[in-house]
Amino acid sequence: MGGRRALWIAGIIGVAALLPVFVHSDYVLTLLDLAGIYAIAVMGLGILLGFTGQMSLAQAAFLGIGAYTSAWFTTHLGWPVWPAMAAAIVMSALVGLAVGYPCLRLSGHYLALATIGFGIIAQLVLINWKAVTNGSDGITGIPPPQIGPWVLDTYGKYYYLVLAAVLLCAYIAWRIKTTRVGRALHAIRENEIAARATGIDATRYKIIAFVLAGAYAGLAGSLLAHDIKFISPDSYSFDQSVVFLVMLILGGSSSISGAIIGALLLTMLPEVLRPLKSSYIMVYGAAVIAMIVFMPQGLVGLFSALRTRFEPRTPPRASAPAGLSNTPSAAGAPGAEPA
Amino acid sequence: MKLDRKNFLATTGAAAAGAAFGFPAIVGAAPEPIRIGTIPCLTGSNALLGQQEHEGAALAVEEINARPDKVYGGRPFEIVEEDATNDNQSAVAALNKLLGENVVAVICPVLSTQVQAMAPVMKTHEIPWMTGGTAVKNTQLGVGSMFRLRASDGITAAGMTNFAVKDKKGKKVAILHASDAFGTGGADQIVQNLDKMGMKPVANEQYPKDAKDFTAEILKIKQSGADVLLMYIQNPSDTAIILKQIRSLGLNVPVVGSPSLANQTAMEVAGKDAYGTFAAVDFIVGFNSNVATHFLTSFFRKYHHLPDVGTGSGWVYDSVYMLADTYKRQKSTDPKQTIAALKGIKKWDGVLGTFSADAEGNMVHSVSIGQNQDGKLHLVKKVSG
Amino acid sequence: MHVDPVANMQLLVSGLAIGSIYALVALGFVLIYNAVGVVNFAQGEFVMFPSYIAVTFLLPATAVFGTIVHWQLPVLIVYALVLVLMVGFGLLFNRIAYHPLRDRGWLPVVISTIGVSIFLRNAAQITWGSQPIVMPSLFTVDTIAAGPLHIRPQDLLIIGVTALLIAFQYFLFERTTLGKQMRATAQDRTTARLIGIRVGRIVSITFVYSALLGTISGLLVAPLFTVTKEMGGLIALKAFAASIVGGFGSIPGAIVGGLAIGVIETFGGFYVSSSYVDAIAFIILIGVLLFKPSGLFGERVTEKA
Repeated sequence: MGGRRALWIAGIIGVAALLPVFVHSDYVLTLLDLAGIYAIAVMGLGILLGFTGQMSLAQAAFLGIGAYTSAWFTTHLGWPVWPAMAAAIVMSALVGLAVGYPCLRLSGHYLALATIGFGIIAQLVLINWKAVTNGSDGITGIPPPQIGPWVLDTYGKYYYLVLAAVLLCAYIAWRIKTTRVGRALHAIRENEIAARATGIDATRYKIIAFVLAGAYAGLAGSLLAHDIKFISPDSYSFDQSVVFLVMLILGGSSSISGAIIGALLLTMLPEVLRPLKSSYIMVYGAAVIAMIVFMPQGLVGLFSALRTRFEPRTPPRASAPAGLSNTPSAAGAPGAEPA
Repeated sequence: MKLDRKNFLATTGAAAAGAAFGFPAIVGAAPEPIRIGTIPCLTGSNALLGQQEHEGAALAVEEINARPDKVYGGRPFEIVEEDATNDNQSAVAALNKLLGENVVAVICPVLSTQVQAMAPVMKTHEIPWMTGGTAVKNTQLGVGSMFRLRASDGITAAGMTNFAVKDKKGKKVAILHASDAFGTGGADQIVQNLDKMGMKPVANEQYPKDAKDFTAEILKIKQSGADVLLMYIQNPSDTAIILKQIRSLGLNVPVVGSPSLANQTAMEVAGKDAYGTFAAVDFIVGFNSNVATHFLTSFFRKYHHLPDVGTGSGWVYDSVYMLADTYKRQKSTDPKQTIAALKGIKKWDGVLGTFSADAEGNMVHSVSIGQNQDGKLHLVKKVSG
Repeated sequence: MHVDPVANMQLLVSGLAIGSIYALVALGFVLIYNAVGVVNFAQGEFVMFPSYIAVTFLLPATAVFGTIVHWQLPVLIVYALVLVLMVGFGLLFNRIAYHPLRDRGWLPVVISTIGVSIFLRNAAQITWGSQPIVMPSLFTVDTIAAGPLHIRPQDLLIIGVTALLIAFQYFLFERTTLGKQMRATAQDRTTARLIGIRVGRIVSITFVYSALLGTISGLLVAPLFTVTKEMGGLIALKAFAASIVGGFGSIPGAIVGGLAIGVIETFGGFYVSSSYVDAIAFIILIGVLLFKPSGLFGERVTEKA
């Protein structure tokens, strides 16, 4: 990492940490908390799709598994929040393993369908397994987390927990990306057969990617449950999985900052458009099309393009995180243009 | 109307000028509006309910503002509306946005899951929360100032079950319901009521969201030998498809539904397939008071269609009027005083009937059984909770 | 539960009916996938949008932007009008959602079709409101009795039209120059271009044809489903599943996949649980994928990578 980039990141973290000092609106803080939680889920999807090239349209289901695990351990068994959160991560990761293993043979549209199917099944279980999930009615009275004497019961306090979680997840994702595992995942994405030929255990690494995506979603789900303090199955739908996918692709799918920016933007965009009243979701849909058409490398690509324009001295390699969606082969999946 | 518009322009003009030139004194001269928050689901799959909520509130405010004698201190009413969309997180965000805009009361969305998600925030704000959500739980969330202007699912389900068993002499009761919180909550209440009578449903079928073919469910009910069918379904499109298939597949038993079976939309969409069905309803056209007649006429004049009175617009309209009335009597919009006054409401006449608050905040305590006779709902009997 | 032969027959009839709707919508998926190698997530809106347009012209009174219009045109004129309008829609869709992204792989196109889907659903809500609208059926009776079975004439019409369209599609791809050009484009675009096929034009035609297939599906299912902005959503998802299970890109696969899903979920709903009916269908589908990853009918075109 170049020193310049480190400075940038430190600056952004500093600003983020100071935000609640200046922002007192519960509304804005709610949204920032939500955006952070979504960013974690999207980073998880990024490891799977962006790093490894494996499609998933079930990320919201994993979020739901995390949320329900955390809610069940705290409200049913009376566990404190932190071990329940750990249980949520483990549970979603295990389900990630269980889903990932049989899906190894699938790719592209087939994998997309299998994950859609899994997401629908998971949501139906949440609706129908009433003994554990309380059905469509949902679970109330989920407690807020506590650090020693401090109860994180306001959006401002919760913001710091979310921020810490986002930074930790981003760091882990960055470590993964820049070490051996990340290079292996990248090789699988570019060309699985070639990767196998060079001795990469593609099976193992693909499963690792599924497990990590599950774990990230599990953490996000748990954070969401303890933020809203109520959960019901309708929040973990196919539509929500689609939203995560859109966040990732518009942010810039193989870049960690892209995942965060995508989540932040798509959480804030409908809110900014609220004054348009009934037509705001329509404008949001049009904006999604416009962004994907006019920003081939996602928002991250746009930012680095702007930066390159204004700071011509910066070497491009240091400033441009790899955008994914520009080259067909990088999509790494069937359905791309024939090479 | 014209005069009001002029007044309105004059006051906002003065306010704008005051703000622009930094003379708060001028603003003080114009009556400050009374801001009521609403959080309907304006987009997504529950947009129909949201649209009806919007229409009810807008009509009430327009009427109230046109009659200064109705208004406390000549202050105009203003609706501050935020879309609750479809999910819990967005509803909470919308609520927090509203609460930042100086509202003195909030009219909640009808989805009980959204109300439950909002409850932790509601608890920290002592203002009146007006709800039309029918889940029994809604008034038991520990929000001290929640007021429900509709019959709860408990009352409705009791009315439906009693009618099916006692009046229709049902020995084998079947239930068909949606898988959402509304459908499952209502079905649970029916099962509890049957249990009190020492009965069990012979079939209790739940269909998944967005289902378009109900052959399996209907045949199962038919095979169970059911002699009466209770339906708890909110979505008018599902209701219509199901009623059509019930006829197509020859399930010839009396059908008794939740209020949503007999609201204007469902009756219009289902057409002749709904003829002869019964429903437990909080409102029947032509049966209720002058207030109701007035509401129906002015609603039609403004929107060119008839309202879903009970399930859609009526309770919102009543909520706004009830608040206006309370503010005028109290000579204050202070939330705490308003809450106390609302808790003491007795025999207040609204569109949906006569409201009296109980300790939980429930204002409606009875439903009627109506029958759809050639597209018109007729009163069969009145049931109390 | 005892086995009742009449009930089983009725389940089969209903299962085939809903299955043929999935198959019909699946044809649209397969067509676009074959031509450009992407999944169109707005396929459900290709069904919904023309249905709204049709009821607007068909009914004695419809509210458009809150204003009541009274067109009430004859059925055939309305159908023709909707088809013509949807030709324009297909061209526009290609221009906006596919063409600018044609060289960027499949994911960006997926995202843009999702954008179109969000846009159209909300545009429909703003234009026609949230109230479900009833599309009148061409038939005067809802059901005809065939012995103890109840059959909806609309279902027979759907099955008939689906069969005709399959025959037409077969004829198009196997017997006409245009169809052969479409297949060549699907198989290898570069080569197709080299041998003088105007690839851009072929792609446009494909989108138009797919929009027309959606329109026909919409006009056929609207009398059964009522017209709502969600009417295409789940149908499209099931149709996508059908086309994958059958073997993505395969027309007979889409048909068999669609019918199989319809029958499985109807029987599953009856014998297992109606609450889990979607789960039953998807568990079986995933099972098929795991044991035969290329789908029941394999792939006419090998996965392009």
